[in-house]
Amino acid sequence: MLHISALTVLYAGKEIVKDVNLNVEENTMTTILGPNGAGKSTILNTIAGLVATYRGNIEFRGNSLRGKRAHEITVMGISLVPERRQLFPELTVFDNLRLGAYNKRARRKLSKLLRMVFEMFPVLEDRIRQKAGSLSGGEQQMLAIGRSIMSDPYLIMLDEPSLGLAPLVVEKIYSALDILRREKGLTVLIAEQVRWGALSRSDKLYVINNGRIVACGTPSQLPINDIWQAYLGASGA
Amino acid sequence: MVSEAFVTLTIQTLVAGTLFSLVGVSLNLLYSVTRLLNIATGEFVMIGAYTTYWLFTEFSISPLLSHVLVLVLFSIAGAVSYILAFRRLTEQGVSEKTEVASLLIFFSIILVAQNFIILRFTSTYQGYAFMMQSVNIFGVNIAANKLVLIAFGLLALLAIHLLLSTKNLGLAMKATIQNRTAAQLVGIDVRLIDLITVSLSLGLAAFAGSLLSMTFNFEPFIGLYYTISALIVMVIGGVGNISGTLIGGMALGLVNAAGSYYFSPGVAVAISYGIFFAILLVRPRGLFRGIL
Repeated sequence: MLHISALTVLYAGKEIVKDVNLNVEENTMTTILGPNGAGKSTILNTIAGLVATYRGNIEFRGNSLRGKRAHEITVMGISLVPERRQLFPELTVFDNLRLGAYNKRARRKLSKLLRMVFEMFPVLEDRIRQKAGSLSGGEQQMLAIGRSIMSDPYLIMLDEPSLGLAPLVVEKIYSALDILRREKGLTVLIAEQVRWGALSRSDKLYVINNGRIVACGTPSQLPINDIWQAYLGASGA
Repeated sequence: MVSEAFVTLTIQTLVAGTLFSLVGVSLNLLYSVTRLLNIATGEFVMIGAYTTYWLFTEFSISPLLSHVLVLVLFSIAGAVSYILAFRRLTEQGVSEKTEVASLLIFFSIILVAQNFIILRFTSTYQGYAFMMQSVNIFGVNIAANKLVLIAFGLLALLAIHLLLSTKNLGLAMKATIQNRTAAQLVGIDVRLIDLITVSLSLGLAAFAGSLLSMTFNFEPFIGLYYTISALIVMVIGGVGNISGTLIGGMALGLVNAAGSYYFSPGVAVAISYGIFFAILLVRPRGLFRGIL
């Protein structure tokens, strides 16, 4: 569904992402693991169209994303839940969700998508008239995911969805993502720092360090020791 | 029985308040969406005034028609200027760099606008007589053109309010003000929002000038006064808060009217600047927080 080949991204003259190849198959959950500053966010932001200049190719459902701007990529069916959620804090929960369905395709299915979001995160329905900025961290993350779902995406990407959240809330969010994939047929791409609980759910893992993919495979092919080793960067160290 | 002072003050407040609200919305909308800080807001007011004056004295076109013409023409000019100049400042994302670069552009617009008007119309005061007949309101005679100014101005402000309340374009503009990155991620074409904003902002400033030309005399240097007024109104209302800006505009109008009525216009301006300074000291982010 998503094919990335030889992706190199420069920022301020420095290669943040180097020669990355990455495949995401339809209806799977793929996780990019890596320490802070490894280039995970840059990869997701580049796919989402927030980073305009890069070398290499990104192809989504047979179409190249080159030259496409962020709002066009959203319309194509890729939705990013960005780092630190990036909600509209002074708007209500409802307006945040309504904005999620800004593109025409989603706007037509607004009530159906709303029902789907409320089914998954009932707390959002209780808070519907509240300003997004007044929600708790966990609720804000749910709203950010809800807003993404409202755009009716084929591929939903999440940048460190568990950052700063209590383990119980993280569990809730990951099980919601499971439901999205199993029952709604969505494809999920997640960037995380080490979170062992998340690994078991993924169909495929990529480990990234210093902008390079250093290991990839299924969770069973990539035992924890291997991931640690990739993190530490030296074989046999 | 309504006292004469009350009627006079109310009308003067509405006249000044409407103008201040218009320039305040013009400046605030542009700044909060694009970070372009239009220190030439007053010059667009000035040119709007001269345009209507010119159309009236040269071609006998009624200012009532010119108000609409000026609004449309300057909105188009705004859209063109966005495509030619401002898009380059905003398309890589907006930041402090956008502000600094925009200050340079607007500063040069001030110089060009003032000198162009001096060349064409000289630097003396100009004005014209239109709808000077007085209307009796509770025993006080008010020039009809002031009532027209208030009516046209409030109508435009109401239109802006309604536009921002729409669930597509209005909501998209508010979203862009609050979080430009997120706005792009939900599928909003922020360049289109920028284009509409620049267009609307310049149109409104010139429209305010067109309105005031019926009532006040003007010269090529009135711009600074309106730019500072717009800044004061934005600070009172809060950046990004358009409803707050309307309240701020009327509040500044009241200060202006009362100061002029009980003391003198010069004192009124001094009081306005004093209030501006005090608010900046106490609440630098504006009296009202948030959007709407």
